[in-house]
Amino acid sequence: MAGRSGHPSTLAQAYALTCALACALATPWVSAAAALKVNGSSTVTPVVTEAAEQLQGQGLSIQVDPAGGSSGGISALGDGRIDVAMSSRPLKASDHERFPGTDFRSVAIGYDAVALVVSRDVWEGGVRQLSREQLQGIYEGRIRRWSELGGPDRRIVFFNKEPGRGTWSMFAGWLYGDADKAPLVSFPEVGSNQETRSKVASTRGAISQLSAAWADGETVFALGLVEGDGEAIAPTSENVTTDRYPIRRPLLLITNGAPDGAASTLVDFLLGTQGQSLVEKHGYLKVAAPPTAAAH
Amino acid sequence: MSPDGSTALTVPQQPPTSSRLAGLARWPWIYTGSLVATGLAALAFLGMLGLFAVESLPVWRHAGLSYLSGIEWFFRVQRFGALPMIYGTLAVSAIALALAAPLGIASAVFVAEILPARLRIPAKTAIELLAGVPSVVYGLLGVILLRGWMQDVLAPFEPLSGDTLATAGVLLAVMILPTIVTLSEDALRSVPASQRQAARALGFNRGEAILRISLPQARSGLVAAVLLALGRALGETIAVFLVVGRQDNQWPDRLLSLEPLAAAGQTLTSKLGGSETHIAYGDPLHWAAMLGLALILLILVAGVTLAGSAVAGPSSGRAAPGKSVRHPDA
Amino acid sequence: MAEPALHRTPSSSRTVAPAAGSADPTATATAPPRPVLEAYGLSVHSRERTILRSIDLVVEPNRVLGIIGPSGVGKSTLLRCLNRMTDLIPGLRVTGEVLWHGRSIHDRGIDPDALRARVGMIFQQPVVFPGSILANIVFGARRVLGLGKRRWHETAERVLREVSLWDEVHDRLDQAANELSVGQQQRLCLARTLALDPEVVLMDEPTSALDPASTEAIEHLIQRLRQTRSVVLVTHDLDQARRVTDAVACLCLQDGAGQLVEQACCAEVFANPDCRAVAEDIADPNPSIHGPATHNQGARPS
Repeated sequence: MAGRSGHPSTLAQAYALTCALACALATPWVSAAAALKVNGSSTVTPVVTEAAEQLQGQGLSIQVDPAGGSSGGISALGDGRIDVAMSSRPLKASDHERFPGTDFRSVAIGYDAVALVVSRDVWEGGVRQLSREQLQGIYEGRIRRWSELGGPDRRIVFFNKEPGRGTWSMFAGWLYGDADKAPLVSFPEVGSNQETRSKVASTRGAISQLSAAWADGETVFALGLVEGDGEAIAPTSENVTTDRYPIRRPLLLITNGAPDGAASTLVDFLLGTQGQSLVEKHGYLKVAAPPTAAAH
Repeated sequence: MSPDGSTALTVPQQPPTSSRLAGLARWPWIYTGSLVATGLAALAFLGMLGLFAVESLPVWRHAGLSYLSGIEWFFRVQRFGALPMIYGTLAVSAIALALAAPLGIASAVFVAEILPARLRIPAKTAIELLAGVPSVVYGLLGVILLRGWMQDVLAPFEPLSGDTLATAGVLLAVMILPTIVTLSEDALRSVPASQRQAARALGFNRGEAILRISLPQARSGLVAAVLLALGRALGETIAVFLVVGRQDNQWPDRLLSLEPLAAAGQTLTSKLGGSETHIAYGDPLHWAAMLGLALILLILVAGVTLAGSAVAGPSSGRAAPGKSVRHPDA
Repeated sequence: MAEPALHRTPSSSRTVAPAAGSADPTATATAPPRPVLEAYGLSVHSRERTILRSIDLVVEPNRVLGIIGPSGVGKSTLLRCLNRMTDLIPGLRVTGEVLWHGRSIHDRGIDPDALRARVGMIFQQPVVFPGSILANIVFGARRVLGLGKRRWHETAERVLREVSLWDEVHDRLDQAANELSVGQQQRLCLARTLALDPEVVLMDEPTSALDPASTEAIEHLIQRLRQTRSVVLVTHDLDQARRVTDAVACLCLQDGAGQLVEQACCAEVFANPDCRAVAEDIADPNPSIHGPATHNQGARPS
């Protein structure tokens, strides 16, 4: 649209400018499509993601995002930013206190265990189980070397799970009775299960908290837990199912009020045969009894 | 008036004025549009700054200046001290610059001055491709390749793992290197060839011509390149997040010693990029503390970027020596 | 005249033996003085074509040699062969011999940077370095000759007087060099080169960018320079050639490459019918449009 002198005409410039402004202003609206927003625990995410893909064929649009962990998802639900929260820990009194206006309803779609995993050199160095007291010692920095625990003479490299993670809450809850009672410590942190496994596997003397489904027994190794004078209980699926393994957690979908519409479809799908086989496929445990949505 | 005196082909023009604004009056949409866009950009930045300042007020009231000087961060008991993270950010960026600046400028000298002309384009293309690699890819490469290697390199300091401030610094150096090389190479090439030629004709060898002519005359461009790369390093999140260790409260006993660099640490970006931001959202004080970190980071990066522009600015307008010609006088 | 050393030296300041004083142009010697620079069968090839073919040239001591010819014939290239500035142009191949005091400058033992300190060069557009007038003058000398700071001022005064710039700038040596006028800048470049005390000064159309007054000043300079050294001057201006040179080498295009027609004193050269055509061509390239050309303005390829 060259004008007389070869420059774009005034009209062309106006048009171009308007288009540019319109694009810039429209971008936020374009991305806010009417999808069901699901945020929260990275433990639950793979199951819900695959369920969402299968439900897409039925015309449902579901956005699954593991950002924030269980606590992050619950906070987002309380703020009304998302529709369904995924959590790998039960709701706490403090969650209800922080969001008094929210009617939290949670449904368990499966179970997971939190394992304490170590790197190969520690496992093969003879450390196969730890007691609650020993783990407290590690967590509080009193026990510094594996040799104090019957293992190789190497420093203990403890990767602490990010405090927002359900995995950490369960671990700290078991270790100290209540996660809020855990002492204030500073360790290098790891976030997702993927990162945890990768870092433990590639660091000598490493130990961290990991979702039991991710402990493959090849790169990282799950320790047995000793409670009191009891024997060591490994996080095998049998031990977890029969509730012998102490650090077990539910996989929860949480909604504000009873789930309806797309959220309801999602919950029903996951509690049905197809959904439960997804849960198992990802290394978690199925729900034992028929589902009833309960307010906690 | 054309040379033969006819006026038939001349285009009617507005009377010439000395003001460029008057010239722009012929294109009202461009003038208005660019004014609006510039204004919006400036407002957006100032708005951001103001927003973060206001939203972080609770933590300033709670902790006062100890927010900046405190060395403990335990959010569960509402203790917020950002100093170890400021240290981490500065340390990681300093390591990155120390590694990337000399190497980058040397590479730029090589590409601009020594490489034969036909190899210049492939070399520049390769470097610019590196500059375009997404941060997360660098981060993953860092996790896969760099952590193990750094733990070996830093063995005398006995780091717990390969996640250290030094690792993040090295990774950042790799990431900002292409930026430094490209910008420095541009700066060097903007030095006129006639300058180098005149130096060679005086008997300078190639190295001396580079040292005495190219580098000094490109100096402001080189400084700007380094400052802009520093700005990028300060703000880099993903790659640093994956390899820095993310251990809070790592405050060195002695500030300028090397040992803390071989240990895990936390930077402003690695803290902000973590999940604590999501946890913080429900708690006003915690949220304010996180936004305060963002405010500090924003001011740091803005300061460095402004410095970089200020250094680059004046030189882009100066007439190249040898070309600056006044009208002849006696 | 002692043959100055041009061999590669490991130290950064090249120890080059200075030219042995000014040769008396009217000395009666039994043998004619050895030429400073000679070229035999000098050819220059680029990847596409031959630029210069088989040029023979002689630069006598204390003489001004002019190089004339039509545009594009290769005059600048020829000039650059004499101090191996052709090395800096990628893709150029130089064959034939160029002798410096009888020794080939392409010998393996010859340091081209040391050669360029002995054979200086001025360009069409003056190239001043950023910095003060004084900094410009000593720029080369301090590096190449290791000129100590204490001797800077005396060197500056010497060369600035030589180029007749001292009176104009002696009180502002610390001012920026690029604030000088074009004519002054060109003289400053010459002064900078003279600070290295070269035996030969090559000049590539030094006055084509200057006004008449500066041109005249430079021409006087060249006349004075020949007392102490030799000058090779590429010029488009025949009158300048007549005024300033002792001998002239006339180049013309034959079969797409520049070739020497004759090197002799001006009168002889312009008497040569081949050269006269060249001369007329330069003097009046477009007689139908322009008036008689006096001197050229602006840069032109040569």
